[in-house]
Amino acid sequence: MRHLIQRISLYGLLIVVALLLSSHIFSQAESKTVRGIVRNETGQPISGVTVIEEVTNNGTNTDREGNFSIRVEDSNSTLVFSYVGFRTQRIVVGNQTNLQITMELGANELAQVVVVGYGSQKKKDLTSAITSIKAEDFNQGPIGNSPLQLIQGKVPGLALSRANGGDPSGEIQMQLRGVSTVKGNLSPLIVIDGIPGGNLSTVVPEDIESIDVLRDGSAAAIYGTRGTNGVVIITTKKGKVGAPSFQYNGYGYFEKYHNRVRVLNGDEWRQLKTDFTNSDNPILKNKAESIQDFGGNTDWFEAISQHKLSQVHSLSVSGGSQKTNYYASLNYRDIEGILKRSYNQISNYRLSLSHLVFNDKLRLEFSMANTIGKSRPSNYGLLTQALLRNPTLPVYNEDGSYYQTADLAGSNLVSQIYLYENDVKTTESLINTRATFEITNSLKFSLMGGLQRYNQIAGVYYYRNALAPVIGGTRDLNGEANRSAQLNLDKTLEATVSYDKRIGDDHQLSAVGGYSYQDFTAEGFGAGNRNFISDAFTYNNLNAGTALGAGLYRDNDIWSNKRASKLIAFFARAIYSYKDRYMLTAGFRREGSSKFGTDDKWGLFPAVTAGWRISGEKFMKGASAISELKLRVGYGVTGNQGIGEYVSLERLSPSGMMLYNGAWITGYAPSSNPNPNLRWEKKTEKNLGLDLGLKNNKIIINLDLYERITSDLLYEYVVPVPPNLYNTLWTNVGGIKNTGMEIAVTVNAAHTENFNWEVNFNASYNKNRLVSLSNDSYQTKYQDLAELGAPGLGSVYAYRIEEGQPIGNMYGFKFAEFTEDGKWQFWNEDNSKKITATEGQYEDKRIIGNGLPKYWIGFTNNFVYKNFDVYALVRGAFGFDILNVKRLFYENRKLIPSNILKSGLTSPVVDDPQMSDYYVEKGDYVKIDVISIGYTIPVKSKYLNSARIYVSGKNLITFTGYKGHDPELNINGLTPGYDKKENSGIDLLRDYPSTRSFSFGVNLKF
Amino acid sequence: MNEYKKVLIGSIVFLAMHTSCTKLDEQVYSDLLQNEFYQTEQEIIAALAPAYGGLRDIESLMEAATLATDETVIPTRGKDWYDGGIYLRLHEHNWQPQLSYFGNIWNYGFGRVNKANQLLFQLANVQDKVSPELYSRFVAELKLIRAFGYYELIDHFGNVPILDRFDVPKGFLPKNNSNFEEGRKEVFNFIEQDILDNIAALSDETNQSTYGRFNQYAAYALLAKLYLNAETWTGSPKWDETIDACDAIIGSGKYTLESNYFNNFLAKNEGSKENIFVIPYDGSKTDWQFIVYWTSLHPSMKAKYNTTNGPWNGLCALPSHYKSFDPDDKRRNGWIAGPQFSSTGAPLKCAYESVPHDLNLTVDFVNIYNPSDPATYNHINALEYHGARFVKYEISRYPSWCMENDRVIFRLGDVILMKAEALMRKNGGAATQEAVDLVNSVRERAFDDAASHAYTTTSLTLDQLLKERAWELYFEGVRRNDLVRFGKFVRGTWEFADRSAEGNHQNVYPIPQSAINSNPELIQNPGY
Repeated sequence: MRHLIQRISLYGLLIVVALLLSSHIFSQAESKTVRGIVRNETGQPISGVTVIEEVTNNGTNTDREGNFSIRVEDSNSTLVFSYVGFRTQRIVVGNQTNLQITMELGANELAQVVVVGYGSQKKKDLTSAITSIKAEDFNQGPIGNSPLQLIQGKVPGLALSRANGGDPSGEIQMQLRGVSTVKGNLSPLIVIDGIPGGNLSTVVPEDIESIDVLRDGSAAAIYGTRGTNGVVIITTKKGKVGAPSFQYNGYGYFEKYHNRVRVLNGDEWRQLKTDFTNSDNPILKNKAESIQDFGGNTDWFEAISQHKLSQVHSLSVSGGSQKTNYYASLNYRDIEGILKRSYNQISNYRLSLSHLVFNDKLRLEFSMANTIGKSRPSNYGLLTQALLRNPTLPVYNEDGSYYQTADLAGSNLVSQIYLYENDVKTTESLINTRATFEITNSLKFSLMGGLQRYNQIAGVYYYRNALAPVIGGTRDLNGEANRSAQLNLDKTLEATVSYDKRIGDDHQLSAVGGYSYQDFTAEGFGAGNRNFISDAFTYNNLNAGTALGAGLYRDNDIWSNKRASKLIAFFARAIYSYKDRYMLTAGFRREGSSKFGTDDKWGLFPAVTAGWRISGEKFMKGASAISELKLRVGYGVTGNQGIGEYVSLERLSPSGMMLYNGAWITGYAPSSNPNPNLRWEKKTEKNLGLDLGLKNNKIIINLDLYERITSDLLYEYVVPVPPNLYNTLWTNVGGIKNTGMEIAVTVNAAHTENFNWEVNFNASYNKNRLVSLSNDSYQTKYQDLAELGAPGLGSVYAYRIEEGQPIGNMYGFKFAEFTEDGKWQFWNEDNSKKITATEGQYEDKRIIGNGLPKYWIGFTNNFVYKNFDVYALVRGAFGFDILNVKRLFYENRKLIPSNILKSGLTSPVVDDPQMSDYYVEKGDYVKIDVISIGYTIPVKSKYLNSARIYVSGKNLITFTGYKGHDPELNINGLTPGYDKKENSGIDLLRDYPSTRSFSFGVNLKF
Repeated sequence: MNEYKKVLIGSIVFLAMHTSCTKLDEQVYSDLLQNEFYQTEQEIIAALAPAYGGLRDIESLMEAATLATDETVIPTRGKDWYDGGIYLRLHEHNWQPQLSYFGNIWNYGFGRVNKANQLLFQLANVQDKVSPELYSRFVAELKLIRAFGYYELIDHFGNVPILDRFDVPKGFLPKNNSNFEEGRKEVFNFIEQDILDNIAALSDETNQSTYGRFNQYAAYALLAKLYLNAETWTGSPKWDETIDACDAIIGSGKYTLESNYFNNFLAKNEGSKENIFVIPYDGSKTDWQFIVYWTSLHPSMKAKYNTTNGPWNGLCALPSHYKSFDPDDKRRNGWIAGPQFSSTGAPLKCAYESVPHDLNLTVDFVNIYNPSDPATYNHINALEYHGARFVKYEISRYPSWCMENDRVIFRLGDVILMKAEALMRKNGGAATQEAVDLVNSVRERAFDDAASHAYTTTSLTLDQLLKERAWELYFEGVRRNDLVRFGKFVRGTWEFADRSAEGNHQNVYPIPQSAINSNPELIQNPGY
């Protein structure tokens, strides 16, 4: 109910704002019909040219003879003529009723404006590797709640992975141009409307105008400190001059897990008991008795999952005059998870205003976005338990109560859902104010202030009769409640001076300089209590519990903390172009971070690029097939400071208790080895690029080669315990080298009156090498990572990072064969002898795979036939391996009486799980990810300008040899391709299923 | 011209901001900066606390000291407890420097050494903040903690770098002696000197103020242990010195043997008159640091003891160890075997491969539910009910993940046996009457009919004394050390593995690979 009121009030606000702003803009005038013909420079009529009236967005196409006819509002209307390969034209109608239009050949695509950070450039003038994607080119179909899915598969070198499957609260993983850092920030910097470090959750996909990805270091260096993993610049929609134009987008979708992991069902379980009883293998024969039949046949995965409709609605209005314009939107998303009761509900409203004052010299801009969220996160642990739980256990007793069993089987999964509350409520705002003063025509001063506020309050409650799973069984809780609150506040202040001037015909100079101040604080508080007399309070009355009062205190029962950091920077950049053929850009950012050692806080991040538009040269006049040819080179340095606060300081923290004179006192000890010399991680990148346009730019090819070298790698290095207090230290030691190639091809494959077909293909290749983990003071040849853990593989690691090797190496035994009774035989060091795991020594283990994809592709097709449109996205990754952890543990009959994979019935293994290449599989995949089919309803109505309906499917078909659930996995960090055990000290294979979804949607314009 | 004026003004505004907005000092809120600490006596005591608190992380060392011996084993049970073979390798004496236990012991030993060195360094700077008596006592205690760390290091690794200070130059990497024997002697001398130099400054009280801390008697006990092993470690026996150190404790009259052996291991064992040095634990304040209850017992036994968290079914007695006890020896009750019942008397059930049978813990590794089972059961393949479990420490309703018994490190029973051993060794290995009386004084409480189980000068041989030490001191962290001193550790003949090919170099563990990887100056022990 409260939610409804909230929504109504939001809608109310929007309407009021819209009315206020639009009232003075409405001017009534006579509408009229305009006719005309469109020709090319040689006088040939062009068919299929799009003619759109600005403001109303009414539109039509020219026919076979180039004729068109359109009804416009009045004489002030502007018509926009666009056609691929030609320059877009704007014509004010005036008194004319019959227009003769000549389209000039142009670089439509290349005339696009690209946001480059602290400014923008035309695509044709770019000298570094930047991909710009406008709203109309975004991925279609259900986007869920991560705006990055809009560009998945579209940016060469930007790998995006839905590692959390379809989790409605899950985030998408990003990786640009390989792994270039190990413990710093792993994701690109997100800049939202000029605010660096914006949270993606403050923007809804429908409000995004464009996404620009600065791929290479020479472009990212202007954001110096956080640019190592690239920069993703998000520009939200702004007001457009004209009468208010409303847009409604809505869609609903169903999600279903696909290719689910198949475990034994109740009947197969019962059959197994018979088979084991008759088995010749003594291990299996002995296990027969342990296969208990509780009489049921429960698909535990199905028992805990739901199939509910998710829905997204967004409504926006935009309009304004030359002086004042506005954009306002409301957005409501109700995303339902696969697990029962899991959901993520988000309401978002956004208002953006722009106003010109002082003779139009001063532009004031204001935007505010507010996100109100409510969710129940998915408990991944249940998904693991669903795999392992005895399938003959019923869910309910006859009287409807939960069927609970003895300790070890864990508590009933359905009861774990219903006897547990977990509510997370968030409010998040992003407020951005900017004043731009035009000092002269070419000189501007701009001041921007931004505020990003994240507020969360969460409540968790285990009911009195809930059994919490713990290692070795369950425990009674008698009611356990926890609350926590978090407040993050990021403040940004930026001042920039920009200068833009064309001197004569040949010289174009633009320069920008500025200062940036950012301040981040995060504070949190939490409390808990246990032993409640009633479930009535849930988490709303912590006082009512008796555990705290009785002195049954645990470390996490009450806590609070606060931390803060700052970033301050000065930056400048100049872009010079001579005769539009020779381009030179040079810039730097000098930035300081509070996180580093006293004398090492400041870093310098320079960049220089040059471009040569060869197609502008006289000698290219003859090569008519080549419409555009440009060579680019770039060099840039970026940094990384993505580590925790205070690491360089000598801090003390509570460290264990001591019995002192009969009472326990809290001890204080150094928190970690301090490192006063901690400094920036730096990455230098060289980029060589080529842009080629063919056939009037109907084919555009962008090619980039890069080499990025990371030095002073921030990592928690292993240090000798004497003399250090602890065996790890945050310091700058090693280096990583990435080299790669990227290609993007855009083709206008067909363009006729009724049929338009655009193809976009991109591919990238990356090679990665960990150059070093050592220096004079610290030596680390290798480090083992990802302990497999229980059951039975504690102290066994799956991955190894090693000097001179690529990141992502899997490490273990090489499989030889099975003995007749299903025991492992591995090869020894020189493959001369077969050994058991126990006989195996450390030398017998080796590199057995690598989980980091070397090749990525994305392939988009966009067809329009008459009123129908079809969009298809195919993407893939190649050249990597996956460690199939589920097979490793559960494709093994020795694991009975926990349930096993069905493939375990035929697997020869009857032995303890072992880490070997037997479970390393090729991960290569191609996905037909999105297919969307739309139909534009021909409407001519006073109230409705256009209407389109569509259906789409997502994650439709995956072609892969991988036997597991989905080869799209974790790509970040040091253990890529790990399917998918998170070692939290608890025996769980945490794995959210990847889902396939089908949606139906409507776009309406008023 | 106007344009440039504006640029100029803009620049001035800009520069003004430059000077005022470039401060990057870190503001701390929920952290404590070291240079703001150590100001009051209370803070200094709080800084000292982790030196003792760190002693609690001894579980891994305790496990390694018993799992490699004739006392215990953690067998692979079904899918559990294989863990890369770390337990099997200890049991089989088939180890390499990578074995995680070695890194744990190394970090434990040097953790104590470093912690003590750090506090000694910092304490010296704030000497004026505490009373001179407190200061000298703190210094002495820290040096004893350092000596304790080195005692474990010399015992397990032999030749380790000697580090007596915290303020080392940048890039300093500690070295051990290139000659193993010489190096071990140097470490021995260092420990001996540290104890002797500081013993007088320690408290001689045996009350709350020294409980869980080094008093003079705890220091003598450590000294006695050092001297007892002198022959093994340096080649030169120190039997008289051992006897003197033991006598300093026995003769003080401040400790007496508990009439009931298990009084020393109660959940509230603070009252023991026999324990000289304990590491205190608390059920809710010291999480995850004393966990042998969980490591050993069967999960169904949670219903027997009504603990909050159920155990994990690992560690158990080797059949030969259990059977070596005289059936009348009450100390054997620290191992539990046979059918198990809940606190309300209901039979407990198996929970893994032997479901749905009743839980009947067997001493031997045999299939009692299917006698015709052709499978061999051993340390690599054990059933869930195999092996007697460890209940020497009283089990209470542990509310969290830590036992609340205080862990016994030195106690009078051990000191008396040490003195007896020194007397016998001084006497060419034969028992003197004094030695016999000493051993009997410890042994008599274990039997209702003590007289018939008493030793004589003929029945008490060194071999018998080694057995007596197992019965008295099992799982108290001394077994490996004892077997090495008696020459029975390498090529040990107890069950489940053939160790006959083992070399003498395995009397010490290898320096852990993790330590060598991060410090290339370290020289690996000979033979590894």
